[in-house]
Amino acid sequence: MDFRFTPDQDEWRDEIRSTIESLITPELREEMETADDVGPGPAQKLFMRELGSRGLLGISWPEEYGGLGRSLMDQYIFSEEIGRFGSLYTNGTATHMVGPTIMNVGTDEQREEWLPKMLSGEVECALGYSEPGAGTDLAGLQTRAVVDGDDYVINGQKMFTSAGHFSSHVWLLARTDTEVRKHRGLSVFLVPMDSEGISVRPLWRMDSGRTNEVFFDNVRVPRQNLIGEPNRGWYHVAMALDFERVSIGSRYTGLLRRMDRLIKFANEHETDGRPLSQDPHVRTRFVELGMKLEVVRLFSYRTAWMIDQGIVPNYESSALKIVATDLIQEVADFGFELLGMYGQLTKNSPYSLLDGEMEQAYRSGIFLRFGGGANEVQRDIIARRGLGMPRPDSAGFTSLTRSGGTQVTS
Amino acid sequence: MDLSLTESQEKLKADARAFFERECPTSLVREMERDERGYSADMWERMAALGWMGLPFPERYGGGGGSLTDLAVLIEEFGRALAPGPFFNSVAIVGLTILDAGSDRQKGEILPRIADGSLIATAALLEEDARYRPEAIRMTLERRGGEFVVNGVKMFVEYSNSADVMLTPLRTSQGGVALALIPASDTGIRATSLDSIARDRQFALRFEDVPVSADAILGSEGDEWPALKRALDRATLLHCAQSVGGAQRVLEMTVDYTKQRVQFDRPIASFQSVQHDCADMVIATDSARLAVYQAITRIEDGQDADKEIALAKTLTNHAYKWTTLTAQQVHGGIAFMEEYDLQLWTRRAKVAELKFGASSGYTETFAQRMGLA
Repeated sequence: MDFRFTPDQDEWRDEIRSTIESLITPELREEMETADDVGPGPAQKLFMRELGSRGLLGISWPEEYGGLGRSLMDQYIFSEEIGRFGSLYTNGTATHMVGPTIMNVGTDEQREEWLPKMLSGEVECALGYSEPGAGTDLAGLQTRAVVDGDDYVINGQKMFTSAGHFSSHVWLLARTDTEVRKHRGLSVFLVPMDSEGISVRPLWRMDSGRTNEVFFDNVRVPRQNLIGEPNRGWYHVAMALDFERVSIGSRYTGLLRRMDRLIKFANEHETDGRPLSQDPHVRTRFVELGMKLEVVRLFSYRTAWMIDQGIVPNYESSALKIVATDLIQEVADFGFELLGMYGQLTKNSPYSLLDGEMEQAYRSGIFLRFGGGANEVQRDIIARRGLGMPRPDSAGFTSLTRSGGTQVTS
Repeated sequence: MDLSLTESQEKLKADARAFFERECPTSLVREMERDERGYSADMWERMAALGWMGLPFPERYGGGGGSLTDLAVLIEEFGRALAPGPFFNSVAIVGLTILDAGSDRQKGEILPRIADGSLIATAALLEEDARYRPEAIRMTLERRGGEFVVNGVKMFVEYSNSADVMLTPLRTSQGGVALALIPASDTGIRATSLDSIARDRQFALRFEDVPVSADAILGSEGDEWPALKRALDRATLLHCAQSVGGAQRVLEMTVDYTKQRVQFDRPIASFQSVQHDCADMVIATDSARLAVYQAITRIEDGQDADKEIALAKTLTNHAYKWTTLTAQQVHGGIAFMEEYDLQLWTRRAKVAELKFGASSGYTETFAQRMGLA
């Protein structure tokens, strides 16, 4: 066993770190510090396109599709490095989820049409999955797409479409067959957001971020915008989720950055004549959180390594999702407490500490534990895929065999 | 990065698992809890014949030339099976310490005999102040002519009733730390048997003017804390590997049970709260295993591993103990019965948490390494 990166990988890390640093302009810094979380502003979009022009939006994409053809581990290292700078916009939905799915299940025409534009940043995608009545039970969604001549006609409503107000397209999961079991009647489309009949209404999040409701009223898209096979959308979307997992590295380094900020604060601020970091309770809590952060790192490495070996992680990425997102909330909670009454002050307030980061993090941290697949569902996945435990609705002993993937044994 | 086992490690693991499933059923574990010696001499010989006792020693000492990781892979299977006996003490503590700190002559004389199983060694690491710290070593080593004598008390010494020699940390007259190999059968040693929660063979040993020859001293007389620290680091991690093996077995046992146990007309494995308990066992056990092998590979590479050891031991302490207690809860009444096997692991997991240091003892090391002033 070897837990280290290779010298080549270290070199790659240095290279992209300096590239990223060179692209962080004063405008971008200012935008990240001052803008409310309503989506990437002009400086962030420019940054994303600059990455694109250097091939860095398609690190692990095959060269035939315009990528750099590097390993998924190199892609993982990139996501670690980008995570050090906070949440920078990298067109990840298009390049980590939608693009790879098109490579796998799209036609040659679709690959030619979409992939180069995703790599350049011209095509940006919002996820059109959730609906008012379809959250964790996603396959129960109601939005319909019906064939009419050369088009599909789409009617329905999507909910929590976070990037909907700044993306060029929506990666839309819609029902194309109502006569079959719910998972087998879905298809996935790339729909231009400027299509006639689409309206977007903002939903304001409790962390001041923006998400959206998107309404589809007789929206027409050409049949060739259906990606992959009709009625196989559920499986294409599941595949997209597997691809998404290469961007996990940013969670670790994002947390590391925040923890280091808190450590610095605790070292530099005194209470009762000694650094806050020497308060026994504070010290113990730091260690507890620091150890959990190490688990996030180890689970990230494991998942990245598996993907790099061509093994599709199943329960392993669920385990990572749980520990990382629980920890994000926990660190925010502890950091807030560390600042005492000043923790409550927002970045806009005089006297705020650490730029109000803990106040913001405390509010936004709530999202990740249920978003992207609720942590309860992730535990279901570990139990069912990893341990072969049956679904709750199975009355008998029939589903005791696992559904595939690696099982938790050693 | 490579998080897989090598082909030979996979084979070792599979062989060890098959061996223990055949040779070390829980009926044997139970029998050995009541046995005066505490392990099966027959099984000991079979293990020796497989070359396990020399696994981490170089071939010139009759060993298999294996790595620390190889040994950890094997010891994980010991923990899975709860295989009783002095293997851990003899090979993982004493053997590796002689290899690290002994003279060529000591290595040449002792290691081949540990490797073939004919010599059993144990480690008398703790005293009445039962902490793994240099200041807790009080047993004295005094010169008398060309020889030495030893006086003091050692606690929680395992399998000393079967051992030929004991690796014994000692305090020299000048205040240094020495390591000596003391014949376990010396008449100046008075043993008091201790009954413990794990029902293994442990003793309190009182040493009165026990003679030690100069060639039984490892390394330099009085400057051996670094060697002992290295020994403790290795032993801590290998002991963690053993615990991880135990936790994994408990997890699997529990999942198997939930698939068979029917309540409300369905297997309890289909209840989400039960599933989530099991998922959390997976997270705890996987975390511990990754952290343990990370630290072991750092030691193998000669890198500083204090932070990684602190992480590994803390995660393992939690994983093993918490997994057994959660498993007991998921099983309910049946596993509270003495005749049910789960309790064999549960009783040992609590001791495993404290052996080589409870988690609180690792907090400060980790705090400093993460940059806290």
